[in-house]
Amino acid sequence: MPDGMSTCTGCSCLCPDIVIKDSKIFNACRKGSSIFKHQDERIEPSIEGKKVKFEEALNKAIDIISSSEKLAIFGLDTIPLEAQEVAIELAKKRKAYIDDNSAFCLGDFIELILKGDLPTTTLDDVKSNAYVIFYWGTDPYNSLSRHLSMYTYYPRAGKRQRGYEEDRYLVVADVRESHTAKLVKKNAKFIKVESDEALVEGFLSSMEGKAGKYYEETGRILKEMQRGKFNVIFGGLGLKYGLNGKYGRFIEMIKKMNELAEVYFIPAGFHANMRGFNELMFEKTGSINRYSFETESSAPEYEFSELVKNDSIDTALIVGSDPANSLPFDVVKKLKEINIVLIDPKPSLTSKIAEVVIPSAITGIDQGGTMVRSDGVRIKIEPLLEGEYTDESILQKILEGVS
Amino acid sequence: MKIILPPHPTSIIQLLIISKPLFPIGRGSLSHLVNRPEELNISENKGLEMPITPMEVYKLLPKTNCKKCGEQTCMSFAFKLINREKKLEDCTPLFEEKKYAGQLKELQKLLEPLQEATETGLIVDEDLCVGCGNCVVVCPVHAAEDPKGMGSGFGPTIEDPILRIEDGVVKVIEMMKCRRYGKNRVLCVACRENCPSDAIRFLEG
Repeated sequence: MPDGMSTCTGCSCLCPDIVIKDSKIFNACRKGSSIFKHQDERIEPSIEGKKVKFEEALNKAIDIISSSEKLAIFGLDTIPLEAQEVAIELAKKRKAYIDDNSAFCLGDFIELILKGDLPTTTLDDVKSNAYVIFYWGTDPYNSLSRHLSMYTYYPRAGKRQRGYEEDRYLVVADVRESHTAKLVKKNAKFIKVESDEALVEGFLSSMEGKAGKYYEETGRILKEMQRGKFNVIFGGLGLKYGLNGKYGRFIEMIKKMNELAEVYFIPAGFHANMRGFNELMFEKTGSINRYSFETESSAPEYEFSELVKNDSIDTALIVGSDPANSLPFDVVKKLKEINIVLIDPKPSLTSKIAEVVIPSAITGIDQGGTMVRSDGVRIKIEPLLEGEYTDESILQKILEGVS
Repeated sequence: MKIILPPHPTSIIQLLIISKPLFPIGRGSLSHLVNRPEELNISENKGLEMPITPMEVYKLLPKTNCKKCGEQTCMSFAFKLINREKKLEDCTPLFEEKKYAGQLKELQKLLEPLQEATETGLIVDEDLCVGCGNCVVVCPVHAAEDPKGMGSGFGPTIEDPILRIEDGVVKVIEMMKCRRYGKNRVLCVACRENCPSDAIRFLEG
């Protein structure tokens, strides 16, 4: 791999300061560095498990997609915006279903933010202004390793020059004492929650001046929020599944908190460009995921795993994702029965069950593009080396090829 | 891989892989831990005793403040003994007068690990590290020397940081800069305090 600087696309932090020198990867966390380190373990183009030439695989994929009656496009979270746009065009042309991982990830929060129900800010503003940094239902030490050190709790920047000891207040709410919760020491608070709804109610009753559940913690945190003026809550999957779709009281809580001090919400983190896909879909269709271009609407039954479970599709075009690994076993068993066209740079479980495999590129290594960070900031990514094929060019050829 | 890092300014930087006995720093030797690395669990602190205190040493000295060692008091001699600025032999009455023989023996036993260990130690367990970079960013030396880089949460922009994330795990580059070294060392534990997986530890616990 050539020496140079790159942006890591391991998660939605999109760390821009990765240095590659003498095949050593500097500054990236364990997750990010493994992407660069093992970048040469690539997949070969194949049809039904047999190696073929790239063009043959591409033509076969065009044939399968052209002859499909019910097509679903899934994945798309690790490819740049430009390629996602072509994939949406393809779905439109074929009147297909389109969905990504956000349906079972933090898509709900992104939708609330895009619709304006939750006030949000950028990680750069958090870095230079935020006082109370509240991680709710997430363990960034493990899932987004550099989140704390690069954007939130530890860096000294802007108005927060005195560092974490004096200028930041860390709050962690989780069901267990996670690694992140172990960082709660001086000027910090850990709330061991049994129910996220109860904690929301606790905050609401504290603000009304009543002593509800968790009143000691909520009272202290609200006081710190007033002191800090600029505060941020990072919600993770624990919060999403804890609230179980009932976001009304949570939105009310954030609204009331904003009467005391500025409180913003940012979804903690997910796949590199999941938010990008959600924003593109929102712009083009008004919904963020689970969309059918046939009915021109979004519905829970259009979620990819539901489509597979209910035998609603005969072909799946999977781009940059490994559903055979991430979806439940009974869904994968059914997924195996339909035609799968996979566009992905690396070998995976899905590549083993795919009809056609088309190798593509890794963003930040052999393809560039624009990606959207977890806070909605668009990041331009330059490739380290020139790749032969990119996700965009492959999808463009399929789009031109299909009837 | 576990690495012990060198600690004292006067000594040459060396990296030791834990196949050799650790430098004993407390009264108990740590070498027995080598064959049972599971005991190195910090939360239990088995086998890691507290370091020697000046008071313990002072109690075994003659306490006459005779100034033969060049110090004003026996207490200050005890301090310098622990900092390895003075040697036990500098206290001549201890060796010349028979009544101190028992105390001398005890003192030699107490200071034995100190004489073997020319260094204090930082242990980095790369297997536990996820490369979060908390240690790199919190380090007060980094913040002072590289405020736009490491002090602001990014990777180092200087050539020789104390710690750096390399291939996804923390590596020690320039130990001499650490505040724990030098005559007027500060027992700073910022990097260890902010490592929730205990990948960074100091020998004294």
